[in-house]
Amino acid sequence: MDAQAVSLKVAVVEVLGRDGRVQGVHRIEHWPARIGRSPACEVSLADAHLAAEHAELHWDGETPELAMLPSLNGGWLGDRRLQAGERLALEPTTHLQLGGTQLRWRSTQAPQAPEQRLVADPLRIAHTRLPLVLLLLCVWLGVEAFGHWLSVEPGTKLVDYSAPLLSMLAVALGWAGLWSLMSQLFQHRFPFSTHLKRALLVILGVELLDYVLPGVAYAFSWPRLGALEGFVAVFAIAGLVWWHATLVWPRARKTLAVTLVALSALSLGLQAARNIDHQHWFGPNYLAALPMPALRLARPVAPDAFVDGVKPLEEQLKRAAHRDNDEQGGSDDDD
Amino acid sequence: MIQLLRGRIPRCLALVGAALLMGAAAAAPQQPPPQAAQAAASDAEPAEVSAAARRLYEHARGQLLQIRTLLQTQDSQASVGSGFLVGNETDGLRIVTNYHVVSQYALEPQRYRLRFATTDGRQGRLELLDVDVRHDLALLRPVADDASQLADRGALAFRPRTNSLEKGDRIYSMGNPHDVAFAVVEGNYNGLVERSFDPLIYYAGGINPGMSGGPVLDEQGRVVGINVSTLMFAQQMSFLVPGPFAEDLYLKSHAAKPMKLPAWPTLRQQLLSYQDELVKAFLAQPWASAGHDRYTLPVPQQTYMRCWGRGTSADAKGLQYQRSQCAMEHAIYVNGGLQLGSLDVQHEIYDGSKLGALRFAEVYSASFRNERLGGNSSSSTAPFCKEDFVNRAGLPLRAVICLSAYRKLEGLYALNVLVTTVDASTEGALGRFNAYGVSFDNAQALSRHYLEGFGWTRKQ
Repeated sequence: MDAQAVSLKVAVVEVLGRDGRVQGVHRIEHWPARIGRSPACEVSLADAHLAAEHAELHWDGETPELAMLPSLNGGWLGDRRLQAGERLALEPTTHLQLGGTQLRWRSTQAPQAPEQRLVADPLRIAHTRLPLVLLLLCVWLGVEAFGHWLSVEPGTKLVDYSAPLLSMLAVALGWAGLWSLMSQLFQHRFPFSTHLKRALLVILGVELLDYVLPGVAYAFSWPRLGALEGFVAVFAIAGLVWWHATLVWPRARKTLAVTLVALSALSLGLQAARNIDHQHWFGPNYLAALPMPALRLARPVAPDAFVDGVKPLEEQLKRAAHRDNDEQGGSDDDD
Repeated sequence: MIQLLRGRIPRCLALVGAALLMGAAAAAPQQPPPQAAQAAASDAEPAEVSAAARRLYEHARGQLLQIRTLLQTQDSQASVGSGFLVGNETDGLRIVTNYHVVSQYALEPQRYRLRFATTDGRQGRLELLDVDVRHDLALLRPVADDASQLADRGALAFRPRTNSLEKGDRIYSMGNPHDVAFAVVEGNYNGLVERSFDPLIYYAGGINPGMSGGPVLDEQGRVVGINVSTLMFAQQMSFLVPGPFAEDLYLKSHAAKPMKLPAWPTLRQQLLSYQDELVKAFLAQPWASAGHDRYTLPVPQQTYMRCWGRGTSADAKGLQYQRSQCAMEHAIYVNGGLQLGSLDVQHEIYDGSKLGALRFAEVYSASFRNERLGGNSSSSTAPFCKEDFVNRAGLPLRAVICLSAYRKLEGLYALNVLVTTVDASTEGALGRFNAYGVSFDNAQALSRHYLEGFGWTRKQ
């Protein structure tokens, strides 16, 4: 800010909306300047709670001043009531209310905030074509229909598929709709198809893993792969929420990411704490998936070798029983 | 496995019966016996059989006791049962009852105490000498200060072992049902329960909670058995521990020192030797046939297990299956939440030809996933499992062996073995073997034996 600019007696009166956004700017170079409802005013505002000439701005000496003219509603400076005839000095940046209108006074004396880097418009990056969303929707409904087909008896009528499919569709659309409403609230736009696309991509990914993971676990006899399903579920939800939220609060991407990773870790930590006395902290006791026999790649072992392999459990079980007995012994003493 | 137990006899008689006969603390308050009705009954001319019952009650009333378990700190009873005097005055009289009547005291002597009450209203404290958990028996004696309350009463004698009863013989059960009053109940000896690993007398007579541990006498007033359990939802089906086991316990432990500490080590020893005997006998038996044309599956001999089967109706549209469930119906009562020493074997054979390979894989997986293994509890650890594909004589299997350790009974485990055949895309068999309260080595031996029961009937 150069000295010349400071010495210039120029200011703006910004009209603020209820959400604090600037709705209009009035630049003032000539003094005095009147504020009011009348078209004759230098700053003419469409507010029924203002007098025709409500207040007057003066910049004669060093300090700009506000003089209140006769009015019904007067004004406020913070909590301070401004009455007709009152005159007050204005700081370089001053918030005040006249009638029902929030105003911000900003003069050349006010220091300028540095220029902010533009956040790439997340919506422009995530440009969504409607046909793609429709295609995803069809693929997803197809996958769900297949899942339902697997679980019903042969000969089930097609119309019986409608209830589960429609209810799932309703949930997906409702989810995307809620996120769009959030975007509307904070970003003043309604990117429904983008939210829907993101939700569908994540759901489809999770469903694909739900088919693939047990298949691979079975094929190679890697039962511990089952534990991954729990991780996938937690991180898929966190990831999806983050992806939606970046459209709503684009400036908070990092904060959101850190928060969601922390929450996911907490959820997994609680899961592990619940299973602390179990053989495994995550996942089921045993692999229950039995896909088609053709998928099996692992070689079966001899029964004797398999049963002999159980022996190490004896030590583990002894430790588990002792650990909890000790804990219980401790609590018994309190009785 | 799809849950369906319709028409099955409850698995553990001991469990069912014990709960019934012990007289739980939560039992509803009883109405006092109607005095008028009693008076009227005594006025009537007694029938001949009732005369026998009266004579026997008169004979045994001095030796008949009620056994009560109370909390150390209050006088409300935690459970009630019955008992009777054995032995002789010179060595000191001893009292026989069921283990389950005194199990709370046996396992937590610091929290509970035991008292007796005689038919003529005398009372006193008791101490525990020994237990025979396998036959659900306990041996007690009055504490020295209260022994005078039981002096000069004499004891009941046991019927000689060589002199066995015949089916239909009339025998008389005594005890104090529901803490209402001492009672005598007439019934018939019906031999031993079939398919029971340990002998148990089938008594056709009504016995009720609170009578547990009471004596059952023959016409001569000698002890033939001890009331132990009854079959739920059945009429006059009761079970007695044969008298010789109580006599053995008396002979072994009548001079023993009282047990002051929790009885877990004793229980553990007795359960360990019991499971050794049970497993040895079970392993010696070959598997019976499941009668399937593709697979041979392990079906136990029905020597001491009972099997129930069912299947889908022929016109079912989806999955067709047959189920077989075989179980020992008697388990050993340890405490209210723990019954051990039983085995059961079950399988389901699925035919998914009407479903196709994809749908069959879905329901087969769901059925496999539906198996419950039990969780971490105060009596046992969570299950620890090992799983793999197993080649059983050319038949590929997916097998899971899970074990849980009993916390207070070191060296005893619950074993669950799950086995599925994985050779065909639209048919399969899912088998499950459970053993409760076996040693680790026996668990391995049983797993091996169970896996040997699988194979091809005819190589496909």
